[in-house]
Amino acid sequence: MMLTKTSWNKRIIILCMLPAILFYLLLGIIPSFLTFIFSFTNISGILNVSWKFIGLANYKEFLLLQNYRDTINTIERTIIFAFAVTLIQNILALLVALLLNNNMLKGRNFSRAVVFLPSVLGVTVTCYVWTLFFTLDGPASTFLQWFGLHSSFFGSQTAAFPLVIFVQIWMSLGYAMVIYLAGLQGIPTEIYESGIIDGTTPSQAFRMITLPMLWPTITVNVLMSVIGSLSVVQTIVLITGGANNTDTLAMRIYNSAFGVGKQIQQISGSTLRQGYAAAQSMVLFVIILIFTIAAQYLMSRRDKQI
Amino acid sequence: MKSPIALNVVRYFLVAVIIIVFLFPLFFIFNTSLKTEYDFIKSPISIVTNIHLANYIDAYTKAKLDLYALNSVFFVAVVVAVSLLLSLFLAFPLARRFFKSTSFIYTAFIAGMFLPSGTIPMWQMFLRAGLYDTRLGYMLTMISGGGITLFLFVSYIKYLPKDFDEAASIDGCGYIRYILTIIVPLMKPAISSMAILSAIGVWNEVINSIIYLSTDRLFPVTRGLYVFRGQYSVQWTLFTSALVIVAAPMVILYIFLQRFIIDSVITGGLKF
Repeated sequence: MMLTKTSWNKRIIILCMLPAILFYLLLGIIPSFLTFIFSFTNISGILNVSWKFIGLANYKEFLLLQNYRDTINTIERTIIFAFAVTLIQNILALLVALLLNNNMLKGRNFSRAVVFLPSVLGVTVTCYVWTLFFTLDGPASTFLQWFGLHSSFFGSQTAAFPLVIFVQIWMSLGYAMVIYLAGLQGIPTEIYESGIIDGTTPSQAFRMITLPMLWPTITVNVLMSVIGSLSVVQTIVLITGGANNTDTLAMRIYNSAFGVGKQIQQISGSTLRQGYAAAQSMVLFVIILIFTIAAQYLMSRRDKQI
Repeated sequence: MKSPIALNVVRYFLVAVIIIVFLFPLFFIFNTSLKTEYDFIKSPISIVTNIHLANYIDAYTKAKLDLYALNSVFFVAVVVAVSLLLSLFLAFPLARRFFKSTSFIYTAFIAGMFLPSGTIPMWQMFLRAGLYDTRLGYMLTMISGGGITLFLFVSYIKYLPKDFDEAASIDGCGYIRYILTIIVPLMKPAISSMAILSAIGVWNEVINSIIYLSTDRLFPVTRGLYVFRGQYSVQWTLFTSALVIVAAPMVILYIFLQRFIIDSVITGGLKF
C-alpha cells in the first residue's frame, strides 16, 4: 500500500475547505437552529416592532385553538399532496424509463428529451402554461364539453387541488425518469441474458431482476420525492396562490411569514408573523421527519426480503 | 432480440401518448402567442391563421425581458461557479480523508439535508445586514457547497487514483494548482452534470426572488414573469408571447445540447 500522505501544507487544505463549511454554518445550520428559537417568539417581519419570547403560544394557536379544523385540513392536504405526487410520479417515471430504455425503440432520444423538457423550461413557464391550458375557454374545457362536462379548473374548490398535483407531476417526471434510466443502465445485461436462457418471462424478469437491482435507486428517489413534495411551494404560489383549497403547510408558512400568495383566510392574518410561521415550519419539519423515517423503514424491510 | 408486433404497437402507442402529453400544451401556448387578442377571444383553441408577430415585440418591451434575462444569466453564472468551487475544495479532502474529522464533516452535511428550513431566520438576518433587495443577498441564498454536488464529487474523487496526489506534491505542485489543473479535467463528467443541474435550479428559482428582491431592475426572469402576469393577467396573447420569449433560448440551447445534458444527468445519477 503506497503512502497516502502528501506533502502539502495542511493549512492550505483547511483554508480551502473553510468557505464551504462557513457557508454551511452561516446559511444552513444557524438559520435552521434559529427557526426553532423563533418559533417560541412573536417576531415579526416588520423590523422596528419589538418582540419577545412567548413560549408555546404559537404552537397552541396553530394546533389547539379555534383554527383546529383549518389546521387539520391543511396538514391533510399537505400529506395527500406528498403521497400522490411521490407515488404517481415514481411509478410513472419508472414505467417511462423502462419504455424508453429499450435501445431499439425509434425516437427514443427524442422522447427522453421531450419528457425532460419541463425541467428545462422551468417552474414559472410550466405553471403558466398549465394555467392557460386550464382556463375556461382553453383546450381542456373544450375537451370536457365533448363529454358534456364542465369545470372551473383552478377556480374550483374541488378540482384545483388534483390539478395542481397533476402539474407538479408533469413537471418533475422528467427528472425522476432520468434517475431511473441511470439506475436501469447500471444493471448488467448479462443477467437478463442468462435469465432468457433459463426461460424467464418478461414479468418474472422484472420482478426478480430489475426491481431488486433497482431498489436502492428507487429508495433514494422516493425519499427525495417525499421530502421535496412536502416542501413544495412554487407551483402553488404561481398557479393559485393557495386559494381554492390548494394551500399546503409549506404554502401557509410563506403566507404567514412573507404575505406571499392570495389571502387564504384571515385566520392567522399575514402581517408577517414570522414567529408563528417559524412554529409552522417546525411542525412541517416534524412531518417530514416522520415521513422520512417511515419511508426508510418500509424500504429497508423490502431490502431484507431481497 | 425481436419483439412480437403487438408489443411493438403498444410500445409506440405509449410513446405517442407521452409525446402528446408533453408537447401539446406547449404547442397550444405557442399557437396562442401568434394570435391577435380578438382572434383569441373569438376562438381560443383553433390553429392560428392570421399570424400576428407584433405580440412578441410588445411583450418584449412591456415585460423588460432583456433586463430580466441578463439578471438571470448573471445569477446563474455566479452562483454555479461559486458553488462548484466551494464543493470541489471541500470534496477533495473529504474523499481523500486527509483529517480525522472528515467523516464527521461528511455526516454533518448529510444531516443538514434533514434540518428544518431556515428561510425565515435567514431573511431576518439578511434584512438586518442590509442584504435585502441586493444582487449579492439574492445570490447568497442560493450558493451552497453541499448537497448533491458535494456527495457526487466525493464519490467521484474516490475513484481517482491517489498516485497523482503524491507525485504532484513531491514535485512541488501547489495544492490549489493541482486541484484546478489536474483534478478538475479528470472530473469533467461530474462537474458538467452538477453544473447543468445547478444552472437549471438557479434559472428556475422564483420564491426567493419574491421574498428577497423588490426593485424591478434586479429581477430575474422568473420574477419578471410573475409580475407581468399580475399586470396583464387577462391578455393571454401578450402573456404567452412573453412565455415563449423566455422559454425560447433555453429550448434552443436544449435542442442542441439535449443529448449531452441528459447523458450528463444520467452519468451523475449512476454514481448514486
